[in-house]
Amino acid sequence: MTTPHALSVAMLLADARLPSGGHAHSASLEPALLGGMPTASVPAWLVGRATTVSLVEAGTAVVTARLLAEVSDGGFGLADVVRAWAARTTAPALRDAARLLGRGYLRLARTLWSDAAAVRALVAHDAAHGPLPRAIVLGAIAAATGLPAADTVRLTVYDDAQTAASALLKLEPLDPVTPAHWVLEACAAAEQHVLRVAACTTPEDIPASGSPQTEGWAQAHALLSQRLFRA
Amino acid sequence: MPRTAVPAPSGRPVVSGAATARVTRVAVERPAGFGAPVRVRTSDGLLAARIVSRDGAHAEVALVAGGAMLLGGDHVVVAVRVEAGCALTLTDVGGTVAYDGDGQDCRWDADVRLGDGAALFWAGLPFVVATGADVRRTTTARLGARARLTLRETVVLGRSGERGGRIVLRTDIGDDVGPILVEELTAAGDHPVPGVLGDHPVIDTLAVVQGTGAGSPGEHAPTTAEAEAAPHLRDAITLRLDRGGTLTRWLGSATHLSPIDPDHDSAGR
Repeated sequence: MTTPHALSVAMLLADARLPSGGHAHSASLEPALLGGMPTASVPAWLVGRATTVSLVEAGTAVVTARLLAEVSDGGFGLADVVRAWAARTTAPALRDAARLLGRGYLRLARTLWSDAAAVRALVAHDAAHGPLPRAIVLGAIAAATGLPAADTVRLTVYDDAQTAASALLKLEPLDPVTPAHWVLEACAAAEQHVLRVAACTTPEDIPASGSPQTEGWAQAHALLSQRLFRA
Repeated sequence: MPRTAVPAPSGRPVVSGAATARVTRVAVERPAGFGAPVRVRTSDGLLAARIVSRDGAHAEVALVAGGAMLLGGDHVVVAVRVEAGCALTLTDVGGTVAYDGDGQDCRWDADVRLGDGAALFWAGLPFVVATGADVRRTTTARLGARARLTLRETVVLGRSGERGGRIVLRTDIGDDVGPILVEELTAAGDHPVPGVLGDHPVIDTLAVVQGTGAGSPGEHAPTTAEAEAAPHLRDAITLRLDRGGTLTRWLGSATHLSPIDPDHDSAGR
């Protein structure tokens, strides 16, 4: 059987046209703007995300991929990785949003990589313990497709920044090229962390870099009825 | 000077050879006999421990700065042990200022171990990070079954008129099942980041968590309704943690404006 290159898989996953449910999310941007953050702060906020919460997601995906590819034998299981992620994701609104996105990703994964042991392991865990966050599912896809750890980190950072950037264009009138520039700046800022996060092997290694203001905004946003995005 | 085991960021013990790491220890042990007060053992480091009161189940201990602190190169280590069924209230006698270390960083590490059903109530006074200071402050706690931890931590970037220095603030709370709350915040007064603290110099946090016993489910999936039922304290936000417990947080401009009141918010201590 021929298999696609891991880069092709990464491009597929990062493509907004992929039917994974990401269009309903703003990667915390709408909560930030409704919370009072000026549009002028978006570039610095994107850099902040790329070097904090995105790395928590990325580390979770990397550790999951190592576990499911049976590269790591650290005496821990999928439930331990989920717990590590949840302990680092303090806002219930963000955990809920991540689990919802995880559901969309898992639907995709079980169709595209139905034979992969990593995906089958997730489907079984999901059935027994409830929805898994997106970072865990992304890790399983990385294991199933051979996506290298460093690229899993870059994909996570890019996807988060681009999700926020495309949401911004629906919320604020702006030259569409401007946020694209900010996305690349955010990716560049994360680059110095990529190898460290890609080296994570155990749940304890996963970065815990929080973003309290974003978490507060996310929680307040979850209670609003007038919003364009789910989170 | 004995080398001292301090918690590493990952929770694994490492040995620190820092010459200034003198451990402040507070241990509360069960009474020697019926009707006797709990036993309290203390030893002094950069902070001195003074027993304020004790009875059959509970002790109150004050932490007092032994001298000017924190200076560059200082390493405060506080080790707190509370035996099963005992309770401890820790109070700070004064706030702490981390001063300009002139290029040298400083550390503040607390390591908390609570036995089954034990309780610790620790409402610290503000920790001020002066301009030029470079601080790593960590709190690591391991909770026994049904052990209860109430922890208030207020960090202020800068003294009056200052933007403040740099701090890495790590909290790692877990039990036999696994981690409950793991968070590492990095903030620098001269580089405010929107989404992290924004322009707020004060971050006030109250964590109220309980250990899960072996044999109990250990998983807690709060419903959306439960998350929405979280109390709102003016502009503070209360987050329900995945495994139970809450994190109440306020970002603001001055400590006296904070609505967080640990005495009120930790019913049942």
